[in-house]
Amino acid sequence: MRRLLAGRLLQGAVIVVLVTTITFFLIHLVPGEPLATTLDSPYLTEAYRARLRAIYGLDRPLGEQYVRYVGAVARGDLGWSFSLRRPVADALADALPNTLLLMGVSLALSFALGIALGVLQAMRRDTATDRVLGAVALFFYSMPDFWLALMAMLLFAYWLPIFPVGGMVDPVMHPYLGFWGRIGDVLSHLALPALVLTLLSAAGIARYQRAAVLEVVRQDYVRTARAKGLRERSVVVRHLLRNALLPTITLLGLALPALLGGAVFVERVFAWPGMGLLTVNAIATRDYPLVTASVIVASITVVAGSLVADVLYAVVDPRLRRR
Amino acid sequence: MALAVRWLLAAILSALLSLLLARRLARLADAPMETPAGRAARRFRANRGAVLALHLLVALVVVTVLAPALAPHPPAAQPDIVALKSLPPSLAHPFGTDQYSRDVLSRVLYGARVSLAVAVLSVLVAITLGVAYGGVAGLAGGRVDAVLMRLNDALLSVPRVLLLIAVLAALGRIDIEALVLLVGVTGWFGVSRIVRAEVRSVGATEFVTAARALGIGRRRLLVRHVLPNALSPVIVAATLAVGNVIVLEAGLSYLGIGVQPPQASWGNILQEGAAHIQALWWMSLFPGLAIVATVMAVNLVGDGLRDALDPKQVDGR
Repeated sequence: MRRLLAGRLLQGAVIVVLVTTITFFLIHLVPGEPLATTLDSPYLTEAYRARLRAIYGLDRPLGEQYVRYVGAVARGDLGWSFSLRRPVADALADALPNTLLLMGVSLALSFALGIALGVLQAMRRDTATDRVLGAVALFFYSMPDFWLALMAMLLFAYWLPIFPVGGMVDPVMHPYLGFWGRIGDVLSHLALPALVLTLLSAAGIARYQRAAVLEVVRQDYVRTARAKGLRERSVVVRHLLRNALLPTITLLGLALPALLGGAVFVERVFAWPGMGLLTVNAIATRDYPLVTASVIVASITVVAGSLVADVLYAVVDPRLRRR
Repeated sequence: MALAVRWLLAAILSALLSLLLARRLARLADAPMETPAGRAARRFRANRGAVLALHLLVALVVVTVLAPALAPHPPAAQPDIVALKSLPPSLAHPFGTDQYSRDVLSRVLYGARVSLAVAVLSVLVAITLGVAYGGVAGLAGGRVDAVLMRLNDALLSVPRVLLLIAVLAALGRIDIEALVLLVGVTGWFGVSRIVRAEVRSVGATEFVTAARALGIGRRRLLVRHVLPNALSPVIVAATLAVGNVIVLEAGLSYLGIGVQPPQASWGNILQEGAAHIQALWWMSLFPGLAIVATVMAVNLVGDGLRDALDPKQVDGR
């Protein structure tokens, strides 16, 4: 167990370094200049431009810039955000909790919903219930994240004004609310983005879960359990689900990148002040240090997610632990 | 009136193609000799949803190819920027008009060409790269394989959307060819894993050993003997990837870094509509529905293919 954990940690670290490298070079090899928005100003003399480049180290060879960057990142210094005029690490630290709140809620809800629907479908295989739920799941699975967000906004914020249009708190009233009032305020702002992400992610999970259950139904030990004369309920809960839920844990690793990508769009539509919105804004302002850092942080999240999934899998599956 | 006739002709053409396709499938399925293709065709035909989706895709391709003949207006025409501005759906403009008085239906039709072309071409790029990479890794084995696959794992854990956003944003306005290339280049990491696994399992079979024993060259071994036998999962992955990329293109264009206006794509119509979601809801609703219908059909066909091509599945499930 300890060896497995150590191995996976090392592998995760290697992947993060690789991702950092890839992202850094991709972004820097692309034509265009990090300081373009500033340097394009006609009021700057060429000498001053050169000085600015020198200050930010942009006049050095790419290799040297890379080494410096990695060294700085290792010390926890993610660079200076040109557009926000503050350290990148600070900006990310402000945005990360908001994204984690949105993603955590969506992740929990979508796993609960997706697993329940998938199991229900598999148990009622080839019935009307299965087909209708399967079609609904496919419908959401086939949808662009931002479009569902736009439609949810149109329906539940404009036509039936139940929820606020966007943001995380009421811009005027929030400071005057009591403790519970503030929580309620955030929850009402959270509702639509979380609903959208949950539906999208649950659709994929349900499809996967249904297949996983159907895979187990065919196994001999399920037939044996039935042949022993166990009650159907006991067969399903004790023998079937315990094994069918195992592969779903790996989905945690797979769902995370999708959810993270989805969060970019959903955060943008609902102006949810998280990492996604930060990244999109950084892109609009060509804020390279901020873009690079958020891609790296996102990759770390993904790597951490799949690591957690692997370890969890080893914890619940004794067959893997022994190796 | 002439427009109605053209739509009618397109419908007839699409029905004809559907019929031909159905007959081809039927002939394959009912062939007296049992072949893998015949078995797959029979299984696919048993899946009514997938067959229906396939016919829908045929109709979609016909409409897309004939878009210039079927669109009521040119996609960028602004016939009357005052009187025809921001009209809700009506008989004259079934999908309404946008804030520049352009007919949204026409733009959705032309947008279909761009969106589908981007999706299909970039998936082709991705498949080519993935097959090459996975094939080399699988065939090489040993340390080369291990290194290549570690790199592959690293690439897989970069969130594709974020990476694309970063690169596209840095590039600024780009043309469609570059977009196709970039989407393709970031899309092969999953394919190469599939191909590599298939190549490993096919490589262990006796006929490959036999071919090796006959002294066949590596490249010829890969291209003639291994890859054709590893094809089924690639076809399935490619189909599902087309659906994914349609959604991806829409997302990138929505952020303003995909297909650039005035050229219409499903994504950038949505982008122009999103700013006026409350007032011009039809600009957001209809292109989105087009995306969902298309991607659903692609996914249904992909699921059908997966079930039909899976050798583990027993006939009649």
